[in-house]
Amino acid sequence: MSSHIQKNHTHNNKNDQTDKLVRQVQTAYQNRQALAIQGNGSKLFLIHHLPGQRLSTASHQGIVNYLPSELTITVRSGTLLSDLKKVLAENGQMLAFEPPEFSANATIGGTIAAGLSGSSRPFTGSARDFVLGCKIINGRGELLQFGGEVIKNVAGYDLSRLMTGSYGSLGIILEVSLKLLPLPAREQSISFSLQLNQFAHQVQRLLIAGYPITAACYSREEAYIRLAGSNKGVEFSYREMSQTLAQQKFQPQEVNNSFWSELNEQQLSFFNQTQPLWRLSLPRKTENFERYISAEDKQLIDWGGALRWFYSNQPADKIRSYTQSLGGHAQLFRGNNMDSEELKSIPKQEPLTAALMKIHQQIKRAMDPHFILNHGCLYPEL
Amino acid sequence: MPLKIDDWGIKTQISKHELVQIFSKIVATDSLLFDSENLKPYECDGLSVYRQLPLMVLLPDTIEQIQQIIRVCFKYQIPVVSRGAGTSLSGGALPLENGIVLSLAKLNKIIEIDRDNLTARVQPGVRNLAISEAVNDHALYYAPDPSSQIACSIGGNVAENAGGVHCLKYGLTVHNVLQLKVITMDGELIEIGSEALDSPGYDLLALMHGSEGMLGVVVEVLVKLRVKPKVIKVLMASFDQVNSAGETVSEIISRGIIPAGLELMDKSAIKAAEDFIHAGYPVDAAAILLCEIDGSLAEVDAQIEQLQPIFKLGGAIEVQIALNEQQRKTFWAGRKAAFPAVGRLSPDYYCMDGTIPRFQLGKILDRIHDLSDEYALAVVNVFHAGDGNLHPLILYNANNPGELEKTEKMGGEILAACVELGGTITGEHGVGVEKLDQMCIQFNAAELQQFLDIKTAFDRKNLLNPGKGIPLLHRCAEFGALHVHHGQLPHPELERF
Repeated sequence: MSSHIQKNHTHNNKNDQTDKLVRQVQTAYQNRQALAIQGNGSKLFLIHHLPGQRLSTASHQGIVNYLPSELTITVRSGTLLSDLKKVLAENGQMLAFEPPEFSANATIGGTIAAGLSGSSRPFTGSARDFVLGCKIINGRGELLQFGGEVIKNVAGYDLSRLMTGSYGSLGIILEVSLKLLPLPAREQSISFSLQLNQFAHQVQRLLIAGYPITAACYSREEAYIRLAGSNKGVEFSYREMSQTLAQQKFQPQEVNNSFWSELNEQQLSFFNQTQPLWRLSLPRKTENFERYISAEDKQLIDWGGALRWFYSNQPADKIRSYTQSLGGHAQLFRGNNMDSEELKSIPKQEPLTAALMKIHQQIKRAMDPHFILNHGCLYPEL
Repeated sequence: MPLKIDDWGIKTQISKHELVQIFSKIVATDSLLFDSENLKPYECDGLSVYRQLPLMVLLPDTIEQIQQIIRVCFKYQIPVVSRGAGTSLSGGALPLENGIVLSLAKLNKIIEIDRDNLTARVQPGVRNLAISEAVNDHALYYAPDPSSQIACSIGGNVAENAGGVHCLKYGLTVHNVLQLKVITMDGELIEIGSEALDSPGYDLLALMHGSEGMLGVVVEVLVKLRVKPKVIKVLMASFDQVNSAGETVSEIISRGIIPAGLELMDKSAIKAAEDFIHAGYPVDAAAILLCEIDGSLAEVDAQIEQLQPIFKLGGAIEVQIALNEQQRKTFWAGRKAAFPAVGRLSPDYYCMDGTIPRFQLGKILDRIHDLSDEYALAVVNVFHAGDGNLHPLILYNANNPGELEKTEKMGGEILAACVELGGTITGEHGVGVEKLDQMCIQFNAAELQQFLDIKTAFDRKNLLNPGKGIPLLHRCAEFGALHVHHGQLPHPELERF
C-alpha cells in the first residue's frame, strides 16, 4: 500500500497563517498600502529595496500533504528549506533542482519566489520545472489555487510556474506543490585538468557517450563531473568514463560529492573574491566569451557551460552588452566592493525590451492592480 | 452537435468581402480560402463532434505575413483561431463563425540543428516526429511523444503543453522548449526565453505553454534535444486484478525507480489491442503494465534486477522482458494502437483525459465502472500510470439519438470525480471547447477571473481563440457549478439559473 503522510492539515492549525495573511493583503488593497513580502530574507540581496509594510510568511509553516509514492509534496511557504530537505531525505527523495539556501533560515517560499536552481539544473531541470501547483494571495487579497498535485495538468493557464522567480511581485505564495525525485542510490564525482576552451566540448562528448551526468562544472583549470543513478550503473559508468579519459591523456581523480553543495552554497574558495559577482546565463557552448575577460576577472563555469559565475570590476553596461551579444543575460548577484551609490543605480536584473516590459506590466496589473506587492523589487516599473 | 460558445462580445467592424480584398494583398490567392467548399476541411479538429465553418482560412508562409494578418484582425476586431495540424482532442482549433483560421501548416521548416547546444530551431508547423527523425543520425531525439506525434505539429504541442508516454522521466513540452517567437495580438514579434537556460523577468515561457492559442501566435520554437539512451528495455507484467497493477506502479516509484514509460491497460483495452495488433498480450489478464527502462546497459540491468521482485510481490502473474528491439516495438505497438483498436469495437468512442494522484487509481476505476453501468455505456481504460493520466474511452454510437449527449454527460461525471479525488480535468488534451463546464468545477470564480485578466493582459480585445480554454463566469453560473467559498457567493451581481 502506498504510504501517505498528512501533517498539519487542519485549517485551524497554529502554523496556518492563511486567514491572517489574507486579511492583511485585503486591508492593504483597500488602502493601497505597499507590502514588503518576505520569508526570512535570505534572498533579499538579489532584489532592490522593498518599500512598504512588512508582510512575513516565515511563520506560515508545515507540510500540508506529502505522498512519497506520488513523488509530490505540498508545503507552506514559511517551511524551512533545510527542514523540507530533511523530511524528503528520510523518505529517500529530494528536490532535484538543488536549490541553494545561502542561509540556514531559507524558506521554500523564498526558494520558489527566487527560482534559483543548483548544478543539476541542465540535466534534471529548474525550480519551475518541478512546480506543480500553488496557493497564492493576489494583489486584491483573493486566495487562489492553481495547478495541483499531479504531474500532468493543463487546466487553465500555468500561473504556478509563473510565480517561480517572480519574487512575490505577482502574489504571495502560501503553499507550493512540488514534484520530487528519488535520491539516487549512488553519486560519484570526478575531476581532471582541462583547457577552458575544451570544457563544453568535453561535456558534450561525455553526454553523447551516454554517461548519467547530473552536474558539470569548470573552475581553476579543472573540470568536475558528477554521475548519479543506481549503485551498479554508476559504478560501471564511473569506471568506464575514467578509462576513457585516461586514454585521452587526462588524469582523472575522484572528488568528494560535497564539492557540489559547496559550489551551490558559494562556499568554495573561488567565491571569496572582492569584485562584484555577476551571474551570466549563456548558451552552453559560448566560444567567444573569453575575449572580453580582463586579467583580474575570475570565472567559474557551471551547468555544463550554460552558467558563469563572474567576478569583475568591468562596468555593468559593458558586461551586459557582450553577454547579450552572445545570446545570454547578466544578473548582478552580489555587489561586493561596489560603491553603494553605484550599486543603487544598477539594475540587478537584466533590463527587458520595451515590448516584453509592456507585457510584464500588464501581467503585473492583472495580478496586482494597485502594484502593492513587492513593487519595484525586480524592475521599477513592476 | 450544437455547441454553446460563450459570447465574448466581439463586434467585427468589416464585411467579409472587404476582408478578402485586404487579405488578398497579404497572402497569395491559393493561401486564402473563403468559399464553403474550401473551408470544409477546416471545420473541425480531432474532436470532430463539433463542426463550424470559419469566416475564412489563411495559410501564410512568412512571419511578416502573420504580423500583417494579425494587425488587420486587431484593427477590425476579427477573432483568430491558430491551427497547426488540427489534431487537438478538445476542440482547441475549432473555428469560430465570425473568425479566421490562421493555419501555420506552411511554416514547416526545420531552421537549424545545433548539435553543440543540443537544440533544434523549428517553425511551428513542423511535425513532432519530424524533429526526432531529423536528428536521428546524430543519436539525438526530441523527447515529448504525444500519441499523435506522426501528425501533430510543434506549435500545437506548445499550445496544449503536450505530453506523451515518456513524460514522467523526460517532462512535458514546457520542460523541453527553450525559446519561442510569438506574435502578440498587437502584431508585435517578441522573443520569449533564449538559447540560455533561463531569462530575466517573469517566466512567460511557462505561461505560453498550454495557453491554447489564447495569448499569442507561436511562430518559431527552439526545442531541447536529448541524447538517445544506449539501451532501452520493456517489461510487460500481467495481473489478475487492476488494483494490484495500480499498487505496483506506486511501489516501483516508492523504491526510487523512474521508468521512461509506465503504462497500464485494462482487460478491455488488452483485448481490443490484441485483436487488432497481435502484440502477444495476455488476453486473460485483468491488467497489464508496460514498463520501459532506459540508460546505460549497467543501469538498465540494475533496474530490471530491482523491478523483478517488485512485480512478483505486487502479484504479477507473469513478467515478460522484450527479448529484442523487434519485440519491444511490438509490445508498444499494442499500446500505441489502443485508440484505433477501440475504434474497431464501436462506431464511436469518446476519449477522456483526467488526471488523478496514482494512489486513487482503484477509486476512479470503481467510479468509472459504476458510471458505465449507470449509463449503459462500455468503457475501455488506458492509463499513463506513471503520471496518473487516465484516458477512459467511452464507447457509443452517434447514430443513436441522444447517445452522444449521454456520453458527454458521463464524461463530465468522470472528470468531476477526478477533481474530487485530488486530480484535474485535463492532463494533456487541453480544455478547448470541450471542458469549459468542468473548468467551473475545478476553479472558483476568483480564479477564473484571474485567468480572464491574464488573457486580457496579452490580448485586450480578446480576439485570440475567444471562447476556448477559460469559461466566462456567467456560463459557470448557468452550469450551476460556481464554487462557494467562505459561505459567500462570488459575484452576487450575476443572475443564476
